[in-house]
Amino acid sequence: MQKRNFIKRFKIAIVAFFLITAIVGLRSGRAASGEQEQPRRPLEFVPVTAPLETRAGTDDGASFAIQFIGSTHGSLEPCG
Amino acid sequence: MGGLARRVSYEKLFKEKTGGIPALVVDSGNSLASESNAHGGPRPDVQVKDDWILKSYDDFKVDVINVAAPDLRYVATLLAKPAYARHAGERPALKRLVSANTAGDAARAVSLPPFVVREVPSRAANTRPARVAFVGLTEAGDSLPPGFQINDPVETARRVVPEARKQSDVVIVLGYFKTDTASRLAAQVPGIDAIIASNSQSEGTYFTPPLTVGQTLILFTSYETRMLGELRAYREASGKYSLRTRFITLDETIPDDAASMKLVNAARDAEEQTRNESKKLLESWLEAARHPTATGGAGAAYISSQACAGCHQAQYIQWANSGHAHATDKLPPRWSEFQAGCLSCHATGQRTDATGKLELARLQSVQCEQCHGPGSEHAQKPAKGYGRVGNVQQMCATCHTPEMSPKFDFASAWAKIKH
Repeated sequence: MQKRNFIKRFKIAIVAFFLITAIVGLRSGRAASGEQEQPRRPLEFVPVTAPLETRAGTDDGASFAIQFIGSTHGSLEPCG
Repeated sequence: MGGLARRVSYEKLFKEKTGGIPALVVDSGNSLASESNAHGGPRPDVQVKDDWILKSYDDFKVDVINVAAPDLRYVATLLAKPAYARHAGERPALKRLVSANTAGDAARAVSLPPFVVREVPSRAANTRPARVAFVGLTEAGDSLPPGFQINDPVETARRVVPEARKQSDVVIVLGYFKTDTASRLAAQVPGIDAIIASNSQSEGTYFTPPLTVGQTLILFTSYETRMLGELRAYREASGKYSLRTRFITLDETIPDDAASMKLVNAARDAEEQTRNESKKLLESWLEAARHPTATGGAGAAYISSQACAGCHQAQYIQWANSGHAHATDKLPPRWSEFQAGCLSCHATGQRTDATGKLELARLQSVQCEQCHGPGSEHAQKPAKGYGRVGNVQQMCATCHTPEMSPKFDFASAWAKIKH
């Protein structure tokens, strides 16, 4: 009787262990894939209302950046 | 909005906030002043302005600069072969210019590289640097400096882009195009990851939206760079790069960087000083030419058309009614671009003495003695031979050159002043 109870409890423990492992694993997977699946917006406008400290954005893992200028027609000063 | 000082300030902010993302700064072109003088030639104040822009590319580094058609007038003056080495030593930014489809006379001008490759350090361990090729292209402009031509950008790209591709991971075309030219380039030339263009039709249009043609992303720099463009590249597992674009408004929220503001102020002062010098030179010459003095030294002196009128009344009246009699009138409205050289053709008696020193013109407008020579000896001894012009057409052509007088027709002009 005691042996049967022990085996029964052992089986429950094993099942519980795998269940918990599966749940934890699924949540981690969702979190990880959630970061990857969140698409990078291909085009972003940083508006005039954006505070200074946010204008450069964050380090989003870009390999490099190319900042581009042009059409200034000989002016070094602000226009418009 | 825009301006060097805010751009530099943003670049510092970018470094601070994004830490490890390496950045290149590039100019798609049409960033030099292109105003010309009345004859389509260079102006001294504009030359000074462009000198300072080139200096700003060195002091606040711009890594690659495309030469657009409007930029060529100034750039051409620096590419002339005897002086290029000195210019490049003084202005290292010259070595960062690119243009695949502008070509000067190879005997007289240095050629620009069609593309350059910049290595960007890798952020990942055990990964080699990214190689980014920048190809420079431009549409043709209104006028070209003598000896230069602009070849078709799409045809040129067909030849150049594959070469750039072989040496790089990412190919960027920097261009000066209308939207449809950029689209045609993207459609007909494979291997271009992105086109970054100054829009040649952008006058008054603040912003041209990006578009994608095939595999090529087309971006236009904001007019007058009121917004800074930022293209971020992400290395994918395949080894290729995906791209993402940001446009950051350079308004007064971004403070002016102090060091670059100093350069901006110095440039403005230098340009203003050049214009004031032009004005001062013109005003002092106008005053002196109203009261001409004898040349001094040996040789005949200039005595003015009024003196010639004493004997040559009909010719004087004909001259007084011609454009020659009012040639100096054109100078005061254009005082800001005035140079001593203007007086060679808008006045009488400018010459270089035996030591090579320039003697400014003696008399206002194109008077009799501009073609016939100083007349004081003839006035004293009229019977003695004087002033015959052998080849009239050749004489006229000393001032009425194709560059200075593109619409000049000798036959009809001579008919008006023949005497």
